[in-house]
Amino acid sequence: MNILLIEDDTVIGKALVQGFTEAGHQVQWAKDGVAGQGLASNQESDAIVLDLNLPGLDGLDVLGSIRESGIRTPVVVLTARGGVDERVHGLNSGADDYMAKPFDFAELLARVVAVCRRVAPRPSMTIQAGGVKLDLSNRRVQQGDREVDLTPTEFSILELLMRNAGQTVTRRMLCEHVWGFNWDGTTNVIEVHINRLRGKLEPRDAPALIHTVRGRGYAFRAPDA
Amino acid sequence: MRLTIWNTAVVLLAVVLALLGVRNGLRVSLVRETDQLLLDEADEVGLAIRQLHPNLEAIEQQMNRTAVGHKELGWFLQLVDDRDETFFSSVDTPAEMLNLHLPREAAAVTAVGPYRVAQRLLTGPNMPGYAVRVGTSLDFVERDVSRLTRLLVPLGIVLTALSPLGGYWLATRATSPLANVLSTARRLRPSNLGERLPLRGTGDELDQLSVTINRFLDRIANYVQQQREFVDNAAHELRSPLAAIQGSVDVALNSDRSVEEYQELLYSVIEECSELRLLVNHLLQLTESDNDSDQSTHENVALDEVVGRSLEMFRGAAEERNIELESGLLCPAPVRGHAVQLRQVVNNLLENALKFTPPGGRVRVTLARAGDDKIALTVADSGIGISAADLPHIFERFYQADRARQRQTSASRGHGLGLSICQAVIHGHGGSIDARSVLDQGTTFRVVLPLMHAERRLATASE
Repeated sequence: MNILLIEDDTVIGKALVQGFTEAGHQVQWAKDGVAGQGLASNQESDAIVLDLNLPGLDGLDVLGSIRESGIRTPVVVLTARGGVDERVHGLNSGADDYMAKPFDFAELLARVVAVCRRVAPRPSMTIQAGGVKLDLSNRRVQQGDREVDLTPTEFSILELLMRNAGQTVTRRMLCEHVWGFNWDGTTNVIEVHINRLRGKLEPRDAPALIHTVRGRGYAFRAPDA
Repeated sequence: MRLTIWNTAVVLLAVVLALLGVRNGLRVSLVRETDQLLLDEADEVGLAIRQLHPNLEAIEQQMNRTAVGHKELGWFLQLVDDRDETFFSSVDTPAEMLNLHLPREAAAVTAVGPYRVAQRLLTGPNMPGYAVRVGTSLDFVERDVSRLTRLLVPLGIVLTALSPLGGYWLATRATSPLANVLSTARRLRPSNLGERLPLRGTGDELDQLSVTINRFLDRIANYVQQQREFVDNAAHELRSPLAAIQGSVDVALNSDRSVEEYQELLYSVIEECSELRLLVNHLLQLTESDNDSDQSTHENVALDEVVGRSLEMFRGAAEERNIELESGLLCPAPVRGHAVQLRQVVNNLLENALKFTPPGGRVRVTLARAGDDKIALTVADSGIGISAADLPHIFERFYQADRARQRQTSASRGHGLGLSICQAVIHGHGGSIDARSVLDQGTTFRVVLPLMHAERRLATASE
């Protein structure tokens, strides 16, 4: 994808450019609102990552003018102010999603991919990766020719991991996906379900599918990848 | 100042009125006095004439003698017959008095121009309508009055001049406590909240005001102190993950290392970052729920669903630790509030319960009506409990109970903010939260929240 990044902070900007590039995307980086607006109006990008706290032209103004000029490119907003009001305000101003700093890069990447998917919906009712086939319509899982019996929670976790196959999925993302809200606590409420999933999907001697990414979360990787 | 001006005006008016009053009073009483004297004298003369009658010569002599004495007093004397013809008149009788008709009353005093005249009819045998008249000028009255006025006016002026001073003195006496309040208030600074208003011990309204203000100051000082401690604690808590991050990065940059070593160091950095993020989020949640006194942003929340989902989320973790997480039937509990914050409360309570309950233990959650308009959520664990010494402090910010005991349960270290957040949120929702605990037997947290009004409940039921 082509991603337009509008961010004045060089440290964060650099890290994001590197992250997106390594994930196989092209990035254009604008360091202020005016430049960002110019690049956005070319409509070459598939998604815009916009920092709200910009010098000069404020992020929300940029967002407003982008939307006013009829550009429908999906926008993910970044902000250091994580209040509920802020969020509502951002989403009302035409943002498609919202992330509070500090954030996990994996989560940002997943959200950027997700907003693009929302814009161009290809309602796929099955997901396949690493020899596992997820049937979303009747919530069944097949591994090779074997039916795997999963609990709703396990299915939900596997769905998110496979949608983002090859990418790290954070515990927060999994929490939000499975139970509908972020949970920042110290209890790892995901781990036990991951372990059971592994038990069901990775019989002895089988290659690992679900990998723990230390300090960040989990990733589903096909054995041959 | 305005008070003083008013005061002076009032005093001036009073002084002027007093002066006029005194003058008139004096005049009236002097005249009355004079009238009485004149009447008495007319009686005396009449009596003498009656005794001397019909010896007119003797009468005339007597009249002359009397007139001499009267002259001293500035009085004049007349004897008139029934047709008001003057029979005798003393030398200094004013011209207006000659041939003057006066009403024929037995005894009366009449004002004739500037004179007062007392007339006495002489009744008796052979006394054909004679009347004695004794009169005097009122000059002396006026003289006395004006003398008094000359004395009083300067006094009035002095009084009026002094009255602002007096008024000022009175006003200052009345308002000096207020001035005290003001000057104390001006001296108050965040760095100096120790000042209090002096009490005069009179127990009047001003004292009551001072007491009220002092209590208010106590509360503010207390609050500022808490805020200070909070910021101080927050800074210290932030310092440790920050130090760990800095340490790891320092080590990484210190010399060339293998990729594995770098990875290892970066892992510890990201773990410390999570720690830092958790702390910052907790701080934000705390201030957010503190500032949430306005309930305009509250929405309808089904607390039973919130509790149900939290239970769902922790169920796996509980099984993993071999803790029985059981809940009875959750009764429908529509409340007004913030779903996100309430969820945080339930999650915090459940997490604590699991954290401090050893494997094989039990955590029970109930949600039931408490009275007509309240709902009670209890989270009871069979865990290590909280000591009586710690129990009163568990809701304090950054308070952590005996850490040595925590380590027995392999509980990961928190920041001591979870329960503070619970309390702040619940209070912000108009509810209450408390805890009971027996060491080594378990702890029960009880949250009581107001249910939504019945009419609202019907509305949500039909939605």
